[in-house]
Amino acid sequence: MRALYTAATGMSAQQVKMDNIANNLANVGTTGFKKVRENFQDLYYQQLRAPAPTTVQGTQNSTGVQVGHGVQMASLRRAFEQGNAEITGNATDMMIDGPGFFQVQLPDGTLGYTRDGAFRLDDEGNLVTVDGYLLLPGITIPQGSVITVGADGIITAIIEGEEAATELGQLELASFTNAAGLTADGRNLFRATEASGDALTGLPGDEGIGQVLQHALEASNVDVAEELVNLIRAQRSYELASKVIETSDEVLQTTNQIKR
Amino acid sequence: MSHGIYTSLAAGVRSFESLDLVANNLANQDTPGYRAQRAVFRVTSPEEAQGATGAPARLAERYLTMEEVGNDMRRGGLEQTGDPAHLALDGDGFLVLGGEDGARYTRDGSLTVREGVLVHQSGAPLLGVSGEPVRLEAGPFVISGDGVISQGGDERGRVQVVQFAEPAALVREGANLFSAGTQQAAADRETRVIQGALESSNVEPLRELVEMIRLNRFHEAYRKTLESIDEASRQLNTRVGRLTAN
Repeated sequence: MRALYTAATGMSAQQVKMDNIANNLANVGTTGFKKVRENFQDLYYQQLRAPAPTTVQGTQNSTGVQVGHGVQMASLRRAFEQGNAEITGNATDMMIDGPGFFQVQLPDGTLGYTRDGAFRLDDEGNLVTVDGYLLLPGITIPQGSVITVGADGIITAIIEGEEAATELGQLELASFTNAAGLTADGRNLFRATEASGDALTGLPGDEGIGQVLQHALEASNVDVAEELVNLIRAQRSYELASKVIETSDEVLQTTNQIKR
Repeated sequence: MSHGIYTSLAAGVRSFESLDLVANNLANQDTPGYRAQRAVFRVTSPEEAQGATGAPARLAERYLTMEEVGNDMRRGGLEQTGDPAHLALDGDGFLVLGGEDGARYTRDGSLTVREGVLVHQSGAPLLGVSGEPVRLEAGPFVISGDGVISQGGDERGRVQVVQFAEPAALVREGANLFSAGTQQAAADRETRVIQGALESSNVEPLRELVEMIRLNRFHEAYRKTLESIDEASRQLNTRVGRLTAN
């Protein structure tokens, strides 16, 4: 009786889908969050009867009998669609309009990549992430100055007591051939993998990397309505799979009653 | 012994097999490009079954056989995903993927870019009309309705789309892939490629649910038939030949 196990694969795949929807929904307010979608695949097929060119009745192109064994969650894929801009008015808040990533120096010496541009100043005036990781290339902002970030990532400051603006440096962004291959590290950070390819760095405004917007943050790209619709679908699919198990059970019970 | 007992046995076995198909269809409600399966049954008389093969057929297959599992090739709905590496097909064609043992065909266009090549979620590369994967450079790409992949105005190649005379007779390989079996793929010029969308599974839950209920009752009826035949045989064994009535 394959149906029992086949239905179970459906239930477990829908279970993972619901877990994933829960994570998307929990991150609806997370700056720079990118929603994750599920990739389903059918499992292998058992050939009970080979396709025959001609059947007994003389019909052509018989497909034979192939019985499948259910479904699997093949992978989870992150959708890097642009999130909406949220104007904050904060001078050190930035967002990327385009596919690029901010580069961040992690404590273990490696590089992290993020779409979360809520930067702060550390005690030395360096631009750091909310978690205190240094934004690369390092930019130090003199105390008491007012900064302006251009669309090209050039940061200028009017230092207290001076009239002319001083250029402090230019931001560099990273892009990936296959951003969906990045691994999420938590805290809005991604790491490069073999699947994503190495980071290609460029300046904001270069083709295929995007521009920087100051005074704004990128909102999560989770669409609550879409997630809720998916949740309803997952729940119904789960329910139907459980009905298959119920029916298989009833059929088996009927069979058991044959011999009294 | 009456033939009836074997006829109902065959029916019972078939209802198990059909339920397996319903279970697989329902499990694949969310599998992109999935095609629902339907059992095709046929009633065989014992004479016919013997006549065809020259030898007595297996008892359970003598009366009701699962002739084939048909593939319901109707198109599924389109779901906009916004992912540039997602393709859906507007038409009856198939995308072509490279494989170690021959080409694979799919309606599931969930691709990603890996090492400059579009790769299906099963890991097989998408082939262009040249028969080789289309090489992309870093950066965004656009795929037009006729399958031309371009980057910044430069043409990189064209997605290969093929069609089959008998798409329902394709062989399922799992991972949303089909192989050609005995058929030959022919170039398809009518099917349009839609970027940023996926084709949903064509499973209709309601239909599967009804099928499930039907099978359940069918199985019950077969049990009742067996019971009646059993009862009749018992009466035959105990009553006939008894001299005094009652």
